[in-house]
Amino acid sequence: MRRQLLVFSFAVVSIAVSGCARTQNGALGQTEIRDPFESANRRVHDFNVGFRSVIVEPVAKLTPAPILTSVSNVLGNLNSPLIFVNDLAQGRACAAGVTIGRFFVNTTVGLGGLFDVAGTQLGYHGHDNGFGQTLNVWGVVEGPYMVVPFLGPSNARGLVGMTGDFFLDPMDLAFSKAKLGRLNRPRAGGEVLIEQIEAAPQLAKLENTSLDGYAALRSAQMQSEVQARKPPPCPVTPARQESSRAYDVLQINK
Amino acid sequence: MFAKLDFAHEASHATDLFVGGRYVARLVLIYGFIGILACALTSLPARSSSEGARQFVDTSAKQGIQILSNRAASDADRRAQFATVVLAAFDSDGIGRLVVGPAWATATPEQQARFQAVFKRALVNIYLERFFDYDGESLRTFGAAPTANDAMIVTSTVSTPSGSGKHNLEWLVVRRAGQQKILDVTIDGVSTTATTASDYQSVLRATGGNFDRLIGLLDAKNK
Repeated sequence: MRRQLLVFSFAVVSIAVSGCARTQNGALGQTEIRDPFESANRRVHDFNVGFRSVIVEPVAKLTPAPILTSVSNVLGNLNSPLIFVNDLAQGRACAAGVTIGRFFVNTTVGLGGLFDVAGTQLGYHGHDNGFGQTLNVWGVVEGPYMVVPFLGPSNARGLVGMTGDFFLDPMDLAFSKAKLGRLNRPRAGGEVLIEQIEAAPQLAKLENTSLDGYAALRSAQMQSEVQARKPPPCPVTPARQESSRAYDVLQINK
Repeated sequence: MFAKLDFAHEASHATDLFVGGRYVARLVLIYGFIGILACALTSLPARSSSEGARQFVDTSAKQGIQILSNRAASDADRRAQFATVVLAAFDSDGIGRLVVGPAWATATPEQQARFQAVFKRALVNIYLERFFDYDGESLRTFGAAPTANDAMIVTSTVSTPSGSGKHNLEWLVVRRAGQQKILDVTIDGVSTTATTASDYQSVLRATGGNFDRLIGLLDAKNK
């Protein structure tokens, strides 16, 4: 599986380097993404819309909110070491300090991450980070726009980042070393589901007000990638949570 | 004091100027005063216009969001009141022209008029969805900065009623026929007008630039 991902990652990089640059235009400075795989991407987008309405939204409706929050907290806490590594790789010492502080507080006082004590009681809110974001900060070109099954909009750089996260996640490595590697896949699946549940209301709003939901989401995703390059304040407040996902920056009713 | 500013006289006594420290100090004071006055007078309109833009956004946004927060009113009433505020505060014609891009120039005046009529309703729907869950009381506007093309960007933050979500909003304010109008709201880095432009221009590309088709789809979406 890892070898396949590595090969896939190299293929993606090759495509990215093959001249899929972004062009600047538009009265408001909006940029137009080159989308050479548009027809395939649209099919995946349609699949993701179906996945959201058939699986994600019913699960969100049937699961009590406190349970969703707790699961989200635990998974977010397990992601902290990966976020910490990427904070450091981006030279964001303050953000790295907040991340590691949150990890210790939430793991101990927050009962293994069930409760976000650091955020709700101490005001140290979490932020997202990953290798894709690190590549973004390092100035790596985004490459062609790509929609990933289950996960949503991304680009070649984002896919390489996901591969990097897969190999470098300290918690994955720790689980494997402790002979708990079988937990990694359910954890990854849970992360995808929670992420989609949290994003679903915003995605629905974007769909409701657009004629071509695919084009609107692609534009929002591209703008959020540009936004994510700006250094955020530290400690991170909820308003400044970084993410490479368009629907995160479109959060309006969370 | 100003009567003493005789430049010919000052030139003929240049040596005295440099020798007499008191004379130089007086000149520095006079020219400094004039400079400061000129500076203050020229920056006054800019400062007043940026404060005006901030107040305009603060008033309009609070009004709109508070209408949506009023759960006691019926959905239809809230929608109607919100539409009035949006159409008064936003430059819907200007936004309409922007979102269709180059196709605007090729559309007939009759098509343009029909588009603007349906777009007004679409614009209200877009901002209704964007602002629906905001808490009007939490809106804070911080100030305005001029852009290169004489517009103003007003920065603000707003939260959801639970306080769990706090968002950074940037309002692009322009002057239209002497009145301030909002041309765009950027929410956490994502421009609403730019996103709508990508959406509509994608439809135009897919339909070979068929303006009537765009109007038809928009009209159907509004219903």
